[in-house]
Amino acid sequence: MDRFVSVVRTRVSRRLLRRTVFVACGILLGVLPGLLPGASYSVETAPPSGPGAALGDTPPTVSIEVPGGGEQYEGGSRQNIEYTVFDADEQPLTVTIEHSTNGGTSWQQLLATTNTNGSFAVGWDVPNTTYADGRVRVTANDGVTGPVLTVSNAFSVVAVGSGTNTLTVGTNSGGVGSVATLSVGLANDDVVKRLEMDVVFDPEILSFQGVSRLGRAVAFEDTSFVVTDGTVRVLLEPPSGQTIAEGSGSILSLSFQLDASGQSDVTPSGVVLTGVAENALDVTPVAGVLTVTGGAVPVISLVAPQGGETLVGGGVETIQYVASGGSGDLSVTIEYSANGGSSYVASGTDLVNTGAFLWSVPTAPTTGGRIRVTASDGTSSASDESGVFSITTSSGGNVLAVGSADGAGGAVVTVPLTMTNADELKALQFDLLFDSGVVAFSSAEATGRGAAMDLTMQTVAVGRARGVMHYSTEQALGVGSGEIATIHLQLLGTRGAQSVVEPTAILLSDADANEIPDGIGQPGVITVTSDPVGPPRVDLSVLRNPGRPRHLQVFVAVSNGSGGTPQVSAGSANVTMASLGGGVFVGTVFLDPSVTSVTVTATDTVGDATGTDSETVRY
Amino acid sequence: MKPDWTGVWMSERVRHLVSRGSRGLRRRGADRTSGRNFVPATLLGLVLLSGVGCADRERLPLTPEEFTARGWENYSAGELDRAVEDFGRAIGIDGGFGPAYVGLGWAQLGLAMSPSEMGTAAATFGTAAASQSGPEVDAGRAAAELGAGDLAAAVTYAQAARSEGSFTFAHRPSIDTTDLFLIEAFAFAAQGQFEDALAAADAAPVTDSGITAADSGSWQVDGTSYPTFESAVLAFLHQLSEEYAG
Repeated sequence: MDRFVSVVRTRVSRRLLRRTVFVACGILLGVLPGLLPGASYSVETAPPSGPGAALGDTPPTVSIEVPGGGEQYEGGSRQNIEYTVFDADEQPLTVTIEHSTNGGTSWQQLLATTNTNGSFAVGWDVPNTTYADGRVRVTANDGVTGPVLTVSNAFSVVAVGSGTNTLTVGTNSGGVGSVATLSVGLANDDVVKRLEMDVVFDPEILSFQGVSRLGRAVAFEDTSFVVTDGTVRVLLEPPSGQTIAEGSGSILSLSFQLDASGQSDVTPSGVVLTGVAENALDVTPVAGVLTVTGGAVPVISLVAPQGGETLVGGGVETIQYVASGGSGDLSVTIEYSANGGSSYVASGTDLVNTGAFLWSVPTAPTTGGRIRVTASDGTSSASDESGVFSITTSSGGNVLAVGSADGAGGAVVTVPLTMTNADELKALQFDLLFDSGVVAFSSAEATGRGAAMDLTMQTVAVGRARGVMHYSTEQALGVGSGEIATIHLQLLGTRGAQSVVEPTAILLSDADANEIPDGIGQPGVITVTSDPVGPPRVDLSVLRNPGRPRHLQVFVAVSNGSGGTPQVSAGSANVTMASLGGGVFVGTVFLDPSVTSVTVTATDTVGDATGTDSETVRY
Repeated sequence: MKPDWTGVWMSERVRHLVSRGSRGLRRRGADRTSGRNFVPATLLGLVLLSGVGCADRERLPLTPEEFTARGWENYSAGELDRAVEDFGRAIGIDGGFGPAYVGLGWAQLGLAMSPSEMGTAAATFGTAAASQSGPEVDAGRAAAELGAGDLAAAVTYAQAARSEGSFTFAHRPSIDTTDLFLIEAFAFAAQGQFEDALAAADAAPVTDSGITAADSGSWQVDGTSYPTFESAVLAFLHQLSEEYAG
């Protein structure tokens, strides 16, 4: 505080020394109660001289030397007020010194004293508040001519940081994949002009998204940029002389993308809080915490169908949806209601969140169809459902329909080929169209109603297989409905892939080889439910009959296989295998006594991956 | 491996000829009391005993027992077709001669090249069982039923054979009680009953598998891990088959 000790500029008149001492004593006795301690003394100076000097009823004059205008004082600092009073009559003058923080609208008295002619300086502790139009007024009254006053030019005062300022980052939580915000609050005793800080966080858990201004700082301008991985620098400053007044409340919001579950401190570091006098303010930073939980709640919105549509039974419709949120991958369930939503049956479960699902429209007509889609992250789920739509079916005609099937990538699935014919058929030809990236034709055989027909089927182009079925006898396929063949398709795609398998180019003929027009094809949908998993594991076990060692039981256990029957050979002969379930197959081999050894080989193929095992039996 | 028939043939031939000669003498003595032919017959016997001209002659069993005995000899020697012939002759002489059916069953089993032929062998054992009992019958029948595909029957007869005590097939000693367990185990496996198959295999008086269905860590055979219980059981059965079957 030494620098605040008053400095008094004196011009001493030896002649008046005794009077000065008298005045000083008067001050000390309380005559000058408005003066601050240690500042309350004055000395009489030599009287002014000059042509205007007069005696008797001449009013006094007052001038203020300091402040002279334009000064900028720090709040709380000690400054001098220097003034000069002169009375030509050398009457004692009653002097009042006042201060205004608002340009003279109101005044607060600092000092009332008695001066005789001279220049005086009084010490003054500047209030620690900020104002731009400060004034000092000095009034001298000789008791005869009335008071004379002078007002200083304007000066300003800026408060300095003597108060407590606390910058606090809030706490929040959210699920993985979501965005969370943390508010930054400022409780400041000092007026703040600018804020600069680094925000430090765990980059393994959070990614910085941005800053937005709040409340008390909304009129400011902000700048933020990444300094290092896990550190962001934030600047907040006024566009034109604005400040954050004393008080408390939010000033900023920090946004983070929540990348991984866990907890990250969000710490203000290197905080620089600047006062209006460009002075650094003391500030206490308080870190916040952002807790990332397992995940946000999934959100799903059904895009199509929305309701009001009329769908054709037996056809394929694309169900479109948008699903997001949640922790980790979402699985989607598609359900269908034929009764307006009273009850649902699953059309697809544990589906990959692709945003679309090829749906085989049921053949049963309804006016109360609804689709419900549900997205789940395993912890929480969300659903959306369509409005009511209708399903109609075509009647009559000869309908060739392909069934639908699901299977793992690489597996071979079997779908029925069903014929509903109103005419007696002797032969039929059809093409199956499919997505060659998802499905490959494998094989087919005549079954059911068509078991007595000859069937040949093969791939004729990319994504197209052609089948021909006919009777080589006098038989014909009577009017009716039911399976006529089974078709084996290999799944080439990865999990979630789907393909429509559509019968087209259908040619039907009657017993006289006349074409029957208007064959109708109804498509099926093939869905890949899981990714292909490596080559199949094939374990071959050849068991010798203890009573007849040349009778061999051949067992094949297949894991991650095609689901079909493995190919087994003994020497050059194929071995017929029967399934025991669970990927185990059994067959029998009888060896001629002349055979001294035979190699048994078992093979199963999924896509391009082949698993094999072999064993040589010797006698 | 084919047997060295030379030694067998010579000794059998001598015994046969002696037997045949004496029976011929008895028969002739009975038919003809005159001793006119005695001397030539005796001389002929001596000549035969000396081995002169014997390569062109075969013994000729006359009774079902003899044909059956020779049938077993042929069976043991690996001459299964001859064994079938001998057993068949025995049956031809006496259609109710049970032991011949036993032998015929084993010979048919050894020759079977199809499930139907296995079924034929099984039927022969069934015929034998009408008058014969013992593990020899049931063991052969179990093996035949295994080959014929009647897996439940195979289990039944293998268990029946085991219940009759320790077993070693006299005419092929390599077939014993362990094979009965194996037939049972193989038959269970072919029915998809792998826990039963493992139980039967582990009950055999040989190696214990250490495999349990509930412990995937135990699905190992000879240090190789298997992805499923079934594949582990089959690997163990394969191991037993290689070491002990037949």
